[in-house]
Amino acid sequence: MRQSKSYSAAELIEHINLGKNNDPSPIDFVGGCKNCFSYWGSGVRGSGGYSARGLTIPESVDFLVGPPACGRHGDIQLLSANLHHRYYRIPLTESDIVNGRGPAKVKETILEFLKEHHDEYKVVVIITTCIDAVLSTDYSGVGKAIEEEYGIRFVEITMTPYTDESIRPSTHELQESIYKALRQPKEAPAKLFNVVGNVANVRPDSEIRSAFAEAGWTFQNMLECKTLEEYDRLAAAEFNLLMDPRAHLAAKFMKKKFGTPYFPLYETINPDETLGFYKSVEEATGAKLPIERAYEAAKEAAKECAKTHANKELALGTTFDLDPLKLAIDFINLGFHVSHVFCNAVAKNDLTKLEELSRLAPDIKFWMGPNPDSISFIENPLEADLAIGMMPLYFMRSARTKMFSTAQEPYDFAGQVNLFEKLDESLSQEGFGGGFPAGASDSPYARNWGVFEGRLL
Amino acid sequence: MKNLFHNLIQPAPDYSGSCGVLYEMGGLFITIDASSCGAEYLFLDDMRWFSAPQRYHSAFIKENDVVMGIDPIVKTRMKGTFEIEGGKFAAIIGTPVPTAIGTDYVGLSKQIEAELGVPCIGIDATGFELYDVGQQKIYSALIDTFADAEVKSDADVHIIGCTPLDMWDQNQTRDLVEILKACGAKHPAPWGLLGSGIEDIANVANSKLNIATSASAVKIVEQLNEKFGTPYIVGFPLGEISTKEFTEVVSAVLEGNAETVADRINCAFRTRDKKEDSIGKSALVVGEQVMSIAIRNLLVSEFGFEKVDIKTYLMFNESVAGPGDCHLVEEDDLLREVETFGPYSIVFGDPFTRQLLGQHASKFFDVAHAAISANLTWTKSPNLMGEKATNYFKEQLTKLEGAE
Repeated sequence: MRQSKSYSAAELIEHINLGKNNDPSPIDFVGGCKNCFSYWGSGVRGSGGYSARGLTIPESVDFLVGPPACGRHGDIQLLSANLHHRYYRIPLTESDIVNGRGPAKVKETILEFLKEHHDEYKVVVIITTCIDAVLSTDYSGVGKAIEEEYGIRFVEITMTPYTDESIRPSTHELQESIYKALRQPKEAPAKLFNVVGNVANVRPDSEIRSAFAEAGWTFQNMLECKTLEEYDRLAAAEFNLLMDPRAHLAAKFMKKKFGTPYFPLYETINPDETLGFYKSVEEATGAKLPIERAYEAAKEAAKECAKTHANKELALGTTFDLDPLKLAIDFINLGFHVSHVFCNAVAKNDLTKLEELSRLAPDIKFWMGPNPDSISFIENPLEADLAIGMMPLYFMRSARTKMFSTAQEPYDFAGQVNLFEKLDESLSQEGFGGGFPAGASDSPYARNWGVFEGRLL
Repeated sequence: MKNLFHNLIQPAPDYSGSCGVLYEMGGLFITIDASSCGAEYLFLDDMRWFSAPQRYHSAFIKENDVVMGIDPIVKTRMKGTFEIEGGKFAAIIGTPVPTAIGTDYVGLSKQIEAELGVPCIGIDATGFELYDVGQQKIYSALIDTFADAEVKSDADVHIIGCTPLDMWDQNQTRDLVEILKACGAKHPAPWGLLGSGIEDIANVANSKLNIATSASAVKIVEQLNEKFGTPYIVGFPLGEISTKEFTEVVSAVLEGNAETVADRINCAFRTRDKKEDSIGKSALVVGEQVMSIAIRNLLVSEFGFEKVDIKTYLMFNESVAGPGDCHLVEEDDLLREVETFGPYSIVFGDPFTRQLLGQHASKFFDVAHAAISANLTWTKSPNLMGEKATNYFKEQLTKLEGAE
């Protein structure tokens, strides 16, 4: 087994520059290497997230349509959280695929279902999978039949990880699809605005709610819509705050269909960057947002946390939907010490960030994962004080390393205050003990879900 | 309603079943998928990945690869990865997308074998079948690839069908191995666990006894019996009486007295002792067929149950089924069966099958099954192998009676 190798920012810059003229480049890591498999999946959780997003359309019913395997994620996630009351699965068989019977079967099944349930739902959502994308299956006839028969709206969400590298990845299309059932309301109050693209709801104490309210604007979020009427009011908003770059297709769709302009308010841990986003919104809308106190609070929280834990080493991966290189720059600029960064790959458009990191912290170790070599981390775990993100957490199994995770995304000052409080809390705790417990104990009924010692790589 | 599922968790798919068998065998194996199938296997269907990663990869095929052809990519990357990680053998396992474009897994595996210089297995898993079908396919392929009557090793009892998806962890497997050793087995070989891999499989032709511990292995032990004449038992011991009788049968076979237990081998293992006051109690077991047979033996021999029916959405082997047993397909089938053949005094099953039964689940005994409820129940399931099951069932049944 080859041992894993880290790179400095300077080496990565050299790799990218040489890669322009040399293929393969001298550093054969997976990110740029076409000759190896990645170590493990990107963490794509499959239909669970897609089905849950589909359910955010109020008064809708979800049907996951695909091979049985594709339904398992959705089932586990939604049934375990008891969110499945509006979720169903229509499994396709090999015979359905071979004979092109998918759309007919889906239409028949949904129409049969609606015979009894058409009063309960106003939107039908179907979630289709890779296999239908490969075969270019057309489900528009299903939607037409449902609208004609029951006047129920129809939305198709494509859950197709195999298109992740296309110009319309399914993670982006998903965000667009959930707004496609919108209809312009006949009447709506003035001065509405939406947040678009966030997975977790905006915090109740967020200045996004309070500051805009003080300036006379009414906050709307799809996640808070209980009825289709409230959902349609999203179409009457005067602008959208785009909180995730992956939702740009959704923002463009609403601009084209309803003329709604949009402004970015992306996740960042840097309060100055958030302030910049707010300034752009102020300029474009003419609103004066009272955000100074919230800004100062976020700055102070970041400063305090960095001061208290200045000597602690952070290991960063892909988290908060942020690019780990950008995250590293932000942490360093706020006064934190970053020792390891895990990237899926680096490319030409990363050069500026790498040059900045090379200047700010030349000693950072960059691990190009998921990499086949990474498996050797299990024998020789890396160490840091805090692992942020899935990959560093998985590979840093030392007793010293602490875990960090939060469901809240920091796209506002309140979110940033919460983030630094949580970071402080995690950094002040004990380490997590050197690995994931395999489950052994002294009980006669005890389980041990580990691997036989002789088979450890 | 036909074709519609709402409360039943989709069981693990065939590719997870194949991967789970290979996990500890020391080979380099991949699923040819976009990432989500591989993530499903790792995050939901194999708890070992969290504590000890092995040589498994997702091929990460994307739209372009499908258009341009996935074979060259898989071959090149397999070679590149093998140079880094090595492995005793290689395996490529299918998923829905390569199936839809008609990938020839066996042909591709032969090309990879020529490139790598180690055996390569191609499994036409599709994502349309369940994990047990994937297990059955990989067991057949492993036998076809590695079994060699000339190979002599000391593996004398082969245990086939023990994987974490069917709740076989190291402890439960070790307990069964110890029971077999007490019967006189020198080297019980649980395929894919406790270090038993292709070296033991190579010797399967010389096995003295094969044991199928899950439904996916039933056809396999039957075929091995036809091919090599090896006696087999479908089942394992749960509880004191079952352990005693299982020990008697296995000991007789290993001592060369198979004819004395001829009616108890080459079939499902059934206990003979019955509790005398066994009037009126009936039970339904919803789950994996061989585990369910073991529970039936325990209930009948030690807890006074007269009728215990087995119903399953998973693989169903007629050859080991009882008169009240059946295979279920549609979600409503279970309720229909209960209304037709019930009522049952108690139902045993994965906690997530309870919601299929409505009012008929008032007395429900949790038997967690990873192939259904995945990581939601791994930590909540006890290892009941052998005599200790008696005490556990006694405690739990008493609790359920008390709660009534």
